[in-house]
Amino acid sequence: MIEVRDVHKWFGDLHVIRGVSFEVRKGEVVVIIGPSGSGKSTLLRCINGLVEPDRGEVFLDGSRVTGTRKGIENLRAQVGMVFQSFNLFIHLTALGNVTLGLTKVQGMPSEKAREVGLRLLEKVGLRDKAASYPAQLSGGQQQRVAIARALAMDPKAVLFDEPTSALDPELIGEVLEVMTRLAQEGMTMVVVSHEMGFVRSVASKVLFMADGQILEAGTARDVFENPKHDRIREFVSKVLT
Amino acid sequence: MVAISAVLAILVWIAFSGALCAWSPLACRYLREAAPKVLVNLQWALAAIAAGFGFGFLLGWARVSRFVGLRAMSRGYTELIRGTPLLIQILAVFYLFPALNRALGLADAGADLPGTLDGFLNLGPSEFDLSGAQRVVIALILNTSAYQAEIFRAGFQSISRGQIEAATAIGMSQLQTMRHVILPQSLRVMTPPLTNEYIIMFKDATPLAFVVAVPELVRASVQFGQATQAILETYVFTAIVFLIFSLLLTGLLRFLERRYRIPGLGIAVRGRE
Amino acid sequence: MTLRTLWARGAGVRRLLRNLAAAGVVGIAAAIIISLAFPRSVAFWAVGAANTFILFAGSAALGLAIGFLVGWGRSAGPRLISWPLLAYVEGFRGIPRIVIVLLAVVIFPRIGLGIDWAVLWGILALGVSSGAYQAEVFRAGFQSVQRGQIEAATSLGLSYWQTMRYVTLPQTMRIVLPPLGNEWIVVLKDTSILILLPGFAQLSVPDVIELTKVAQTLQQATFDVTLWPVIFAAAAAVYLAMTLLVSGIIQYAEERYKVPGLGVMAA
Repeated sequence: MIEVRDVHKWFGDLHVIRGVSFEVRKGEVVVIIGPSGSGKSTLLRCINGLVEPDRGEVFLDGSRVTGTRKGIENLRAQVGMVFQSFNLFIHLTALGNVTLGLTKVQGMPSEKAREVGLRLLEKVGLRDKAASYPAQLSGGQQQRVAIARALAMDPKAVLFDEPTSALDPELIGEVLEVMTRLAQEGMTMVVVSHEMGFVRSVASKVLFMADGQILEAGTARDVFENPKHDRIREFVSKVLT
Repeated sequence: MVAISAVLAILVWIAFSGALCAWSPLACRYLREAAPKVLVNLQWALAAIAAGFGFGFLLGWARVSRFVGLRAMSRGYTELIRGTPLLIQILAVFYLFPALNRALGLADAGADLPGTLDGFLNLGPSEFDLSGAQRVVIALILNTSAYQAEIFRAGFQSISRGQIEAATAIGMSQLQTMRHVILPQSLRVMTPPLTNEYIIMFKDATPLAFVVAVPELVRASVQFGQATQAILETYVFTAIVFLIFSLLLTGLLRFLERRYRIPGLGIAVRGRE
Repeated sequence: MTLRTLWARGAGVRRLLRNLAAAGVVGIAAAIIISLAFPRSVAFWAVGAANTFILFAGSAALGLAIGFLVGWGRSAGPRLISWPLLAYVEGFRGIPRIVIVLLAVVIFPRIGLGIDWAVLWGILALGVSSGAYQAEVFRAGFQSVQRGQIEAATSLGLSYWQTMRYVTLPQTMRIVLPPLGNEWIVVLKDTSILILLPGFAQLSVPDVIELTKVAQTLQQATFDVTLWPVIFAAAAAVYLAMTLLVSGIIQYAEERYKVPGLGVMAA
């Protein structure tokens, strides 16, 4: 479904991503873990074209993402993204946030969009907050609306950039719950996260990324219990305590 | 901003050295004859701000007072001043004095009113005769007091209720609370809007005195232009002088702001612009 | 649509109605004073007030257009564009409006806009001057829309213009309306500076006259010195009525752009 081939990215002199390649098959949940500054967020943004790699290619379901100018919006609409800081549109209600993409990008008539929107808000447990504005919602609620917004586009895959890092501890659970259910329904997901419990229970594949490279790939058990690199062992032990 | 101020300082220095005079004798003449009048504008602005500070403080305090009457009067005054053009205010104050004199049975203020009938009628000075400049400054004071009142109000209201409650709980009177708790904090956050007000006073308010023909930079420039017949160039010089001083003052303002600012604290004042 | 239903519509409408009422009272008071003390000048006052309004509307609109474009160019444009724009903004903000009007009076005849175009001179002078102030407001407004909002819009598949229209602009409007409204009121009051424009010289109705010129001309024609303060008080009252009206409308508009849950944006 998603293929990343030898992607490199420089920010000025900083070689942020150094030759990363991996594949995500349909229905897989791939989680990328690793220390901060290792380029994980940037890598995620290369997948939906928010950032253009300097070298290498990204394919989505056979279509080339890198180097595409025309039609990039189409491709973006097929991949959803959930951000660490939610990025809900502050001037729109929860329902408005969810339906904006439907009406403006997909050209759906507003009545139908409303229906779809309410259904999705129901799915993340926030139908009763449809008329609320982001400023009136808690962090966990905002993130769930953000997930509904991403799902509204009926994407082939959803990218999550540290979705729970900006949340208070007691609000993390509700978001992880939605993500877990999504995974169980067979959605293809690429997640950057530190929530090891979630990673263990849901990930089909774990990639450990540090200094712009993928040091190890495998199942959660492989990476956590039998890592080949000491670096990973260190990281895992620190994060799991 | 620092860089720009430095450049301007250099420009001013060049202007005062011989170089400018060789290049453009007109500019040199302007610099010697008309430009010094900018000091008049600067002084008026300063006088107005200083007096306006005191009145503004009282008006601002009245605005947040417990007494509805005081609040209403203060609000009425500021709304009136802020809702009418400064030029009308200057004209009103300017032509108030002859009326005052006449009403009090005194002879009219005569000499300072060119362009009006009184200048032609043979009316001598009276006890109530304030010079044109004085009248303009009074109008400016009345004007800036209203805007400073708003600044003070915002400054006072930015102090959290809790601190005032605490002061009262210790047994401080209203006056003491104002003096030891509210003012020290308010004054620091008020510095930016206050210096901004000074710049506006200088740049936008004082030039209006031109309309009542009181000597200051714009009037001096217009006279210079008419004398030399180089009207366009003169106006351009005038613009440049004002621009230089505005930029210098703004640079000074930013510098002061940075020095005295309390990080994280600031007030949003519904200003003039 | 009775008064009662309007009153219930919300704080914004109430304030607008209050302003309208105050404007009405002040305006009528001015009208009464003028028709009693200076009955023959009533027509000129009416024309003066109307012209002031026209000059205000034209200048504010021009300033708005310039301000939007320049502010946008400054916030999003490449250096090649944003530096000259910076010069425009800092330059016109540093020059007194009265000097700009004087320059206009000298320059426009030389480029072919004769005295018949005096109104246009006024609108151009005030508009270009106000544009500099409004540009700063827009620049701050555009820059304060968080990058994350744009990122989210892009990742949904919205194009640049769609993002601008449905995400950036609505949020910018909310932020810029209060300071813009302030500036428009300033422009309304600054039309008094246009007293300097020629072609306002004769006190005959067909000529363009604005309110302050009416007041001054009347003062010069009035021998009774004690009436002079009355003239200017009446002029002040008319201006006050206008500013109350305009600021009421602006505050109503601000209300409509407020987002529940978010505090008032610092002006």
